[in-house]
Amino acid sequence: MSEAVEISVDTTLHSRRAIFETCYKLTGGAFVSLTRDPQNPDFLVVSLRPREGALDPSIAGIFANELIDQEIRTALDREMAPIRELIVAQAFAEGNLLDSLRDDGNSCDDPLGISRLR
Amino acid sequence: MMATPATTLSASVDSADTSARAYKLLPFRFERWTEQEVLLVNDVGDFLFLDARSFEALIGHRLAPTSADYRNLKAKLFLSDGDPTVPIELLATRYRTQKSFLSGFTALHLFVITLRCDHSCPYCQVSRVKESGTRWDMSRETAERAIELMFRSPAQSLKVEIQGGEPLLNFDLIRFIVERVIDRNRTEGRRIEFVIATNLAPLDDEMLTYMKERSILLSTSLDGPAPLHDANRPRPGRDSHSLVEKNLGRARAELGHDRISALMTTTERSLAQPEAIVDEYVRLGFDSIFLRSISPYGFAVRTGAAARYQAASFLDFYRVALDRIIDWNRKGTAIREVFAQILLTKMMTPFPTHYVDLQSPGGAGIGAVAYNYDGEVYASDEARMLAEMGDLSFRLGNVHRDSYEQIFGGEKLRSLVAHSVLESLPGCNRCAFLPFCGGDPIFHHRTQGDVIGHRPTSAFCAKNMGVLRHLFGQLRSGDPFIIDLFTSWATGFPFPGLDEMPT
Repeated sequence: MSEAVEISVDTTLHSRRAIFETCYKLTGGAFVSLTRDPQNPDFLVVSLRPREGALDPSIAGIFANELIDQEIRTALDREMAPIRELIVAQAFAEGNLLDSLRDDGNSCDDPLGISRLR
Repeated sequence: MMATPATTLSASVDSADTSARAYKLLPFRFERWTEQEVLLVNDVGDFLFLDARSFEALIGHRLAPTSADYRNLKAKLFLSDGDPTVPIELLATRYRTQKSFLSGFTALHLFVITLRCDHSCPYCQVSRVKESGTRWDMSRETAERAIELMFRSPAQSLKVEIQGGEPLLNFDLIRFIVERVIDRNRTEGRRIEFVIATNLAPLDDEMLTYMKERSILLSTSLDGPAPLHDANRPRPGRDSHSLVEKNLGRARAELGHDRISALMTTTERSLAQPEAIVDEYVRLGFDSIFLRSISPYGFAVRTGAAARYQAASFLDFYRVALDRIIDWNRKGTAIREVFAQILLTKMMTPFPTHYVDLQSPGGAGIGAVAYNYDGEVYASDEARMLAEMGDLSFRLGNVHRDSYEQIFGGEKLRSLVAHSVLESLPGCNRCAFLPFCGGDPIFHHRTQGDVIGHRPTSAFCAKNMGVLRHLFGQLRSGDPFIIDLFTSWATGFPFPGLDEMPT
């Protein structure tokens, strides 16, 4: 059982977003502060102190694994953002954002002859 | 012996990497389920469990197109390997359906017609007053003005929920409201539903005759077996439970068995009796039970009742009670849990529910609104309870002073909506459970002093996450009975072999 834990994070490997998301998630059980490592400006020192009692003895491992998951989420967010925004825009659009020509279409048209195949 | 390389891939992975980046990922969020499994949920609430190695391959664009995982992910719109137009259109249509609760705007209108009540429940969410006097009753002028505002809402279906205090103590005003609404609706043509939230104690034959004539639904409170119910809901004579039981029978006989529902509030005392509470609902012939935790408002705060148990205790209670409900169904008695049903509907169907606490943006003001006895308009019943505690943060206006545009288009409601969009809330925006959950800014304002709130310490978040995890776990267990039962709860389709409740 620990009273306080310091974790060093390499900011050349991990994004600011992932680090902050990870720290935020752990604020339920710990007080979290971040400082830059005076010896190495590429590293952040994350200090965790228990809100009450003691910290989970696995807290450093939990932090490390969560940081990787948050990094994955950051990468996925970046990759998926354009499609996600397009889906939401299309959902609430009055016209068709994906194919504006179809706005002028007639529901009775059957350009592919689908009805003849029946 | 050679060590297994860390990059060894499962059978699902295309080791030749010939299809690298040949597919696009469609938007989803994930949650580590176990060491070996990951839960993936897309933006419209479709979900699947994926082996951790397949997950790594998926996000690395190395998943073999010939694998079962690939086909499953493609079918459920987690990836696209051709022209993405079709899946994007499908997802957009689903997204629009999921958010369709927005299109009708405010559908639930709560009329708090009196604060008078014959009960003195220590957890009561409103600040009730003694029975005598009319100072705490809504006037006809106020009711009339509230009805006018209600009909300004564009919703085609309007639910008029009449509550208190104990609304039956002001029955003349109930008649007035119902008649005025029916009269006005002759030209409006909306679908109208009337519900009275009552403890049933003052119910008499004349009231029942009128309720039958006007097809009014009743919603009552039942906390469990008599000793528990009477301890939770004291009234002179300590006979609340026997009055509920007696008047429940009368009301069912007059109105129909399915015209009266009940809900319970979980107190500290209730936590030790989950099975007995469920059994009491079965004994009294209910086909549903809503397992509700105490809300941190009104008397629940003043008496300390809300603080006495934590979300963890409620979740322990909830799991045992849900197991009991499932057991009753296994034995052939149909009974469902309403909170689970709301979540399962979101998890297993494309459709939204109209439960305002679990919407994004939240439903306060835009899904439900409360007209207080004194004419003040609040964004929700909880907002009204806060006002009774002296906090007017969510008072939207007054039926006599303010216009519809000022009340429903004002800065307060706009801000409330803006602060309840989960997709932009810290702690929620990356959560896999986002499509099933809500923000509840009023709860977080009350409990944490901030409408956005702090999710890692939020009781609302802990409860919802706990229940969702439990439901996903039940589905993941693969028990065909539970899957069929949950499907019937989510879809409303009957479950073959279970007893139908008498009508």
